[in-house]
Amino acid sequence: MSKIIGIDLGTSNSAASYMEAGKSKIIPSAEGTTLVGGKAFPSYVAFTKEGELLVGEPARRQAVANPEGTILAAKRKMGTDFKYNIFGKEYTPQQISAFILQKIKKDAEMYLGDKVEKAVVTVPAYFNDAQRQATKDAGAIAGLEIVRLVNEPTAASLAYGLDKVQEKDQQVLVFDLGGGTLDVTIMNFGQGVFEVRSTSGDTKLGGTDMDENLINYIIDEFKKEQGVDLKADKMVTQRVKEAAEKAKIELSSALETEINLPFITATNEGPKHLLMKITRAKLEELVKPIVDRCRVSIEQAISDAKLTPANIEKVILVGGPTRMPIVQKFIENIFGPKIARGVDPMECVAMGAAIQGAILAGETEVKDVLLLDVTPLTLGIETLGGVMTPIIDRNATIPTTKSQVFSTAADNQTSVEIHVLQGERPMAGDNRTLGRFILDGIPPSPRGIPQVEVGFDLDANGILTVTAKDKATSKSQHITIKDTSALSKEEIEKMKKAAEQFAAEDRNKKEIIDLRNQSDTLIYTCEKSLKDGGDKIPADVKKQVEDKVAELKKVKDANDIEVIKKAIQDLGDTVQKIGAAMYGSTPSTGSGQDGSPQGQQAPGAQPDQAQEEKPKADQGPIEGEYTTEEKPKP
Amino acid sequence: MPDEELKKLQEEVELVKQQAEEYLNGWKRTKADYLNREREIDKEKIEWIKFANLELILNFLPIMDSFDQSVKNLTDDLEDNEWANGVLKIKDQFESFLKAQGVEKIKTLGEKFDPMFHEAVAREEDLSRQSSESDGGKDEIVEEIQSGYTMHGRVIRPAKVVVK
Repeated sequence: MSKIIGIDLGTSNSAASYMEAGKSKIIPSAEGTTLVGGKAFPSYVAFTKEGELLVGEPARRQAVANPEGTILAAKRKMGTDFKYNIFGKEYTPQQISAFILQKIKKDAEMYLGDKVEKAVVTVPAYFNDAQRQATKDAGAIAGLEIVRLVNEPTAASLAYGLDKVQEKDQQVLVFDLGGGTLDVTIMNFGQGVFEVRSTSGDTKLGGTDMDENLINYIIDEFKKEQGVDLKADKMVTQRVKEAAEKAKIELSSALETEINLPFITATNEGPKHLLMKITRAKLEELVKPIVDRCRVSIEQAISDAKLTPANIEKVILVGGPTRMPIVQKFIENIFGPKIARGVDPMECVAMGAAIQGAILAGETEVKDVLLLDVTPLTLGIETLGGVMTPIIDRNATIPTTKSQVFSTAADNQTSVEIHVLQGERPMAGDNRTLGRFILDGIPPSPRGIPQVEVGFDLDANGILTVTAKDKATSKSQHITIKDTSALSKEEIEKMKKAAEQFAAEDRNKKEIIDLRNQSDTLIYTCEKSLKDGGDKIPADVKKQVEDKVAELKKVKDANDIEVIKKAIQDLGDTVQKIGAAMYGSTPSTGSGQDGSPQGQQAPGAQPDQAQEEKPKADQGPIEGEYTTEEKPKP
Repeated sequence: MPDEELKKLQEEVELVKQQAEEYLNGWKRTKADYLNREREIDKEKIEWIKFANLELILNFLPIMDSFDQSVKNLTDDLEDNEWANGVLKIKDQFESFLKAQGVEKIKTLGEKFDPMFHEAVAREEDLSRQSSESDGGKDEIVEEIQSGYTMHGRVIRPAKVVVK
């Protein structure tokens, strides 16, 4: 089934997009994109003297060499009787736009691997009937059926998801500041319909004006400092222009940037270099007059709609320059914090067109039976140290099945308790308990040997079945939990927020727990090595190891990460002496422990295959009592 | 069993059979889509790896531009200067590095202008320069303003040139 693509047919740049799995994606242009302009390609059409047709980036690149054969901004002439005369042939603006649409059709068909026959195309809100008809004609010439023309501000709003029907009407202001033009549109959104209330703008105001100001500043400063006018040389101005554009973009996220152009020019005195620091404050000072000019259009649109700034419920930003902090601050000063976020302002119009296309193609009316949900919160079990080990991540599409193999924490542990949890915090205790059960009959073995496979099966209705199976005996137990989706949306949000809030703390706690587990394993294996080595270990080595073990035991339950790490390191280094002594050679690299411990976990290794389980409840408290010499901790 | 009930059951069986077939086909299609998508991703992965360093290389090119500029400014009296020569060797190192990454400079001087590889920033006559001696005819590149590069054959930055 062929798709209906969305097309943003812009004055300077155009882009096409389509919907895949509920998300809109831009279709990349075959010959490349404008370097600074995101994923769009320039709206240029050219005919070479040899009669070759060029569209997009290649057309733009030869514009200066072939001005008579190059056409740009044909959109400005749509709906008029104007005719382009190129090398003796006449073209209407519709025909020129059709070349652009044709290129989009070709690129889309190649990219999607399927015929593309229908499209939704965006037009400015202020386009009149003649202009709209011309756009439709362009589509027909290109072999594309334009199933709908959507206003650009409406498309932008769709991309932000504003089409969900609310109880009362919403007033939306779309602020579209592009490379060369400003368009302000106020719309009323109610009962699923976008209605344009007023439009205003400035056709000679945009990002390139901002670049101009910055470039002029740099050149003036250089003239002041070094006495050379850089404007004279084309090559030089090119380098300055590129550096200025880059700096402008960097200053949207950094407070300061540096322009470094060595060998920018040469005079009789020798080569000259341009090194200048530009702060965001300086840029904002240079750019302020342009931002202020926007105010006129905004006030015009508001008064034409007979509203006040307070009436506007949402502001949508479109266009590259709206990413600048000064522009966003300017808007917020007028309207308050109402800027919609989450969508790339350079792609939102094309994306909105794709969304409209999908709606028209009925793609969003998926067979009920196939509407798949996602599980909102992570599901897992509790493991050694009171930690939660995730089995199914949040936002996994259901139905789904996942399993993992675990082991025992203590020697001769014959049962494991499966404590099923739901939530985002790393510590089990901070999450929601869904259920518990016990699997017993595990043959007595050293810790870490048994293999217990824990499987989570979450069906399409959110019913979770957790199974634990001992691979040796094939004994299994399971539990069915019906209310994994019982939490309300607010409760889910609260849990997620708590996870973010406590992220740093939790990370710390987890690190300490992991270190403690590591310490316990290391102590176990060291003591085992000592026992197995017996008399073969020289007394002084034995004493050293015992001392280090005692040291680690002392510090592992404290909360000082660095101290524990050091003690682990010390013990790890010291215990290698056992091997050295027994083999009578210098210790080699790696953890050469003698009497290889049954727990395959070398000190410092995080067991990821066989993780350790909480011992059975009646063996006492949660952690630690896996050696007989240790007293169970309260 | 009364006829009516029998008929109802038979209709139900038909309906359910149809549904089952529909579901099976849908299932098959989904499985096929999944396998096809995996195949696509494997293909895409090769592209990702090939061009993983693209961003890095693009950010590196302005540094090469500065180096090119420094060479242009090398005065004759520095010809025997060992330090200057050493720096030139560093430039060579950078160029070898780029080559190893599959990055190559686009040929400009003397070539015919090709918008797939070059971007015209000026015509010779507009710069009021003396007409160059070349007689390659119109559309011949007479000066390179900024180097262009390809990576694994793909143009990553077109060369900025002056056209006759």
